Amino acid sequence: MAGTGHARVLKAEVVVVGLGAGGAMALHDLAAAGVDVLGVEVGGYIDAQEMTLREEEMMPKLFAEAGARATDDFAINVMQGRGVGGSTLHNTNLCKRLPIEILEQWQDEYGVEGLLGDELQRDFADVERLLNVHPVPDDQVNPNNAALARGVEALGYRGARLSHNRKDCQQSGFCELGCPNDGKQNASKVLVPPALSNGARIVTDLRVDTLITRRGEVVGVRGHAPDASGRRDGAPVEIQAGRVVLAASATASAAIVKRSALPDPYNLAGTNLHLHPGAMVIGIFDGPADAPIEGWLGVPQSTECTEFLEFGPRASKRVWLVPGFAHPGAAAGFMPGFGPSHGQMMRLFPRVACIITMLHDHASGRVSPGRGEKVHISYGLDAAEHEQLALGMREAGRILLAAGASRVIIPLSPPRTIATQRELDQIRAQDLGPLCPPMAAVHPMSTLWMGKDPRRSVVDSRGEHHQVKGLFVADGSLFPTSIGGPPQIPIYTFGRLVARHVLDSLRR
Amino acid sequence: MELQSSLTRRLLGRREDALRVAQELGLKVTASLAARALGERLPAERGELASWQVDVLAAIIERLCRYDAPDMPAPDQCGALEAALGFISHMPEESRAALSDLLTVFEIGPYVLGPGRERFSALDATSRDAYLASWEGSSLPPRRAAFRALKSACMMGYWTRPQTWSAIGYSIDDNPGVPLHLRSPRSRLS
Ligand SMILES: Cc1cc2nc3c(=O)[nH]c(=O)nc-3n(C[C@H](O)[C@H](O)[C@H](O)COP(=O)(O)OP(=O)(O)OC[C@H]3O[C@@H](n4cnc5c(N)ncnc54)[C@H](O)[C@@H]3O)c2cc1C
Ligand code: SF4
Repeated sequence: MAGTGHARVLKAEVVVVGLGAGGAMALHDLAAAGVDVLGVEVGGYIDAQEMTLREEEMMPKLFAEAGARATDDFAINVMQGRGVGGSTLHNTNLCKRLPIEILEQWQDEYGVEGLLGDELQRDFADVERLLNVHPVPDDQVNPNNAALARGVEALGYRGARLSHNRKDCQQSGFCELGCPNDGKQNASKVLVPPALSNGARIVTDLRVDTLITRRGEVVGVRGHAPDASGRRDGAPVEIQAGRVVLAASATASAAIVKRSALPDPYNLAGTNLHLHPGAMVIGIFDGPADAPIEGWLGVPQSTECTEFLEFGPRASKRVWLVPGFAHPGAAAGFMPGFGPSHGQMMRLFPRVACIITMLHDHASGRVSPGRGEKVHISYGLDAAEHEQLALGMREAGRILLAAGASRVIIPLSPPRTIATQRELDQIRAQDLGPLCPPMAAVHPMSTLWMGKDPRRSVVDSRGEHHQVKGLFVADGSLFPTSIGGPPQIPIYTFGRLVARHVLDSLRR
Repeated sequence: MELQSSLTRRLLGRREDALRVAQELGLKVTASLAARALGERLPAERGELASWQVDVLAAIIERLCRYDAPDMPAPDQCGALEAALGFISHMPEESRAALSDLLTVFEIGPYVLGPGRERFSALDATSRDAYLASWEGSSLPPRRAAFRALKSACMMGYWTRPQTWSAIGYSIDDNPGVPLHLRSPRSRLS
């Protein structure tokens, strides 16, 4: 590193900020095209040997804010990845393309170009090949997922087997704490090594704080590496580059943009945050004939129910139902109560199946920067969203009862234990509110979104900022709306599209 | 129309920021007044916990994770507090500082919110449980939120101790997908 003043200075043609799904794909493709590209990641490089399977060790290692990131009112825990690979290090590997209705909406309402031809579908297919996407085989559907499939079939609801990006998976069930068997075909495994072989450079443990601009153009980024204690900021670092690809995720990228006070005449940056917030419904299978479910074992998610999921601006049903499970430390935080009554609930741990009610949210929130890596997230659900959530919780409960659960727990305050379909019908939107039920979100998106009109979007269809030349966005921030499904394949693919435009801009 | 929405957005954004800052400041000021009233010192360094705050956390874990069952060890017998503190130490400074303020407010709470004229850690077990339940079931979302934050940290401390797992049938050693080097030596032999 060269030094000017006390800031260390690095130089590159393009700097990519954040190496998750979008950033790693951009790094990979730019390096393959021979560009002098430097990737910066606030977390470290963590390989399969370092995945210890222990929640108390892996949560701080792999998750932003040690896994305790939340909305300002603590109502929604917002889980995001940290480290080379970003959230793909610990995601559950579900893979879906963007629904055509969403693409049409982005074109019609936001003027995003190039979405409806064959090219995007070809890009999806290429990305899927690269990441080894294929349907989860029958013998890898664990009892937690089988319960959802059984209930869905009994009720005649629409459901499906999901696809995933795994290879040589040993079905340990630890996806969310990092794979000890290197079975995930994620950004860190598939994209980063070839990028390095093609000459890309990567700096880990370096946090980008601001963008440097001059006369309406981006000229680099500034940030901090930690000091020797690892707990405080050490030397400032400056990276000079003619192009910046911002891919620090929909929360952190927006925080960087806002901290940099870029021109934003319509006050858009950081708003429009969608989260896909989700609540858990728990079914208890404790009859004498019920085999234990042990939902922590096996491929975590392989089935879905889409009966109540529609897309587009006028969608009247907006809940995606998927199985979910957690290891004991996180699960205990979600189980209602404390002391002996909580202990009784925990004893049911091997005998419960869980379904997440995930909202394809029309409500939106806002991100603003905190100190260091802290981001502030303000987000609330309105009456319409509570209607959707109540619908989802009722239907998740119905599916679990139809699958054979003796009763279901709806984690309201106080929690309700329900044994009949009729009792389920009594769950109403009016019963819901902040922390009732507690929620978690793993899909932040939409804070620096694409569009044609600078009054209604932050970046253009190529991902370039409307006001600052040379600044591109290549992460989940790009999506103009919530997408109602797993975002990784769309984000990887948009990372590729944006890299293509960065390349064009370098050649112009 | 667009101009109007931009103005609304700016005003809304300012209001949200102002509310958040007021809330943070409110918690900070309340914590500092509470510490003075308790005759305690707040930690010298922002984001650290003073030893009396660690005692408050220990007292909370002791009630939240006291299961009175022979196969569920008492929190102080399995290192739950140390694990919770380890977990907290990785949070960003701002979050740790908020937690430290929260523990202070929680400790003085019984004077204001009932049940008696004692600090939380001086209450007997029954009163501690009643006080905790009043936070969990409060009609005020910020109190429920505070309870959730404390409970998550405590549960993460307790239920990540391997001694607690057999009671709930959980095991890393018996998981056939776990590589051998991550199983305990005893299970590797069997
Ligand atoms: C538990 C969990 C399960 C999930 N399961 C699925 C699933 O099954 N299928 C699916 O499609 N999606 C899933 N997701 C979501 C998916 O992984 C994310 O939507 C996707 O990875 C987001 O991509 P991204 O590029 O926007 O950001 P990320 O992948 O989150 O990457 C952002 C990167 O930027 C880094 N960064 C942040 N701030 C800075 C900074 N200031 N300076 C430098 N670097 C910075 C971060 O450390 C991170 O590495 C899951 C997510 C979680 C948390
Ligand atoms: S289930 Fe498969 S992909 Fe997930 S952690 Fe285990 S081995 Fe890895």
